[in-house]
Amino acid sequence: MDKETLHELWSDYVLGQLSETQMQEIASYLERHPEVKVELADWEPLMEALDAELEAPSQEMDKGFYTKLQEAMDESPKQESETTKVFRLRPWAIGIAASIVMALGFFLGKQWNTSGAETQTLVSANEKLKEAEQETNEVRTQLVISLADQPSASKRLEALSEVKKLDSATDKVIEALFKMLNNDPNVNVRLAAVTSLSKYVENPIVREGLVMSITQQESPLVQIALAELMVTLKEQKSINSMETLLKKPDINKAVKEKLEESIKEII
Amino acid sequence: MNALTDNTLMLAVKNGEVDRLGMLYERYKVWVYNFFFQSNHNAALSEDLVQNVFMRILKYKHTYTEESKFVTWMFQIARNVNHDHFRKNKKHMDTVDLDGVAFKTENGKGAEETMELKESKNLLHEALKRLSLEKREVIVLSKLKELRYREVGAILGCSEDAARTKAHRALKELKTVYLQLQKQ
Repeated sequence: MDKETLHELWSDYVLGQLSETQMQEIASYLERHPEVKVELADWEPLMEALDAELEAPSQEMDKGFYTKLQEAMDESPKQESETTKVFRLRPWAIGIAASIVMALGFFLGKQWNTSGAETQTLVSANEKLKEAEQETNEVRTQLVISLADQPSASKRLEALSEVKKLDSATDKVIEALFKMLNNDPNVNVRLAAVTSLSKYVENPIVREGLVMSITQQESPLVQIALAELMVTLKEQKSINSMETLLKKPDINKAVKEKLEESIKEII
Repeated sequence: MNALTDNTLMLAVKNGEVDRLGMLYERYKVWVYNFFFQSNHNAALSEDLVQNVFMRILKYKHTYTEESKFVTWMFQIARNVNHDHFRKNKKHMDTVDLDGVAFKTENGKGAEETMELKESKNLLHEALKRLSLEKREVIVLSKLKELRYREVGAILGCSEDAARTKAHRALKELKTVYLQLQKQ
């Protein structure tokens, strides 16, 4: 590395377009040549601003998007999804479906034989349909739990996507969601877990878990997402957690502002 | 083979599995949001524009091909959304609020929030506002960690070398404007 090469690569360095090795070469060149570092000092504030962390959008954006997506799904002709195919092909799913059909057939037959009352049969058929929906929910719950444990972040995101389709979440699903929120190495998964858990905030255990999670988070994006959720919920119990986070010496400045603002809003 | 690549998901969306768009949204919402936010510094507007991008993806899903690279295609749509918005609101967006900058750095709340980063970020936004939309975009795209000049070029419709040259020129102009604002 010489001065000429440094100048040639400087803009790429500022924009982060160089390889890790080239970035390190430039950094060490500047350490060895403080006079060059002084020459380039006027770049520092701009570089600092350019290197700032990405801003996080609000949950309102998610709400807006998923509402529009749902509308689009309602309008679009139904096609068999990959997930549906999985359900269709799995033997245990076939078993469940077969049991429902058999039970329904037996029940319907019994109804015709005993009373012959058509209306009562229809009411019973509706009940059976509800049972079938419940079964589907159970199958989906198992799929979520299974995907949530996958090593691939994409699979875990798929688990969170499936959670949105659940009518209700079992304790195991809630547990899986918190595991992702508090331990997942991927920030997108942790963020999506916040969104998924926000669907179940009526459950006091979920609210408490979310409050406790605030101090466990390292990522500013997740910290901000949780703070925004706490403001939406007006959750008084979160104030202590946010104050604890504020005391951390390495706290991100944007997070600090957000937490201070959130505490004021909740109070 | 990973069944959940961007390409696979987008092809599934194209084939009617519309719900798969949710996963693509989760993967890229922060990037696309920042693409707009760096350009307009308006959170609510940026969030609306992000939603527009994903709804356009749905509307034009039939144009997506197996050869397409999803990120490039998505940012091309994002650029179109940005340009459309810019055209519709040109008068408003051209108005540069120089007094506003001074207020933020000298007045009450700004003075209390003497955090250098916040100030430098505000200055950056003001400096970016003074660049042409094209220059703003090339900087924002080049600065996104995961995009290389090759992808930036594909989004802008030029070669990798041309993207690099454009980025260098835009960055130099940005620095000049930034330093001018800093002195004010």
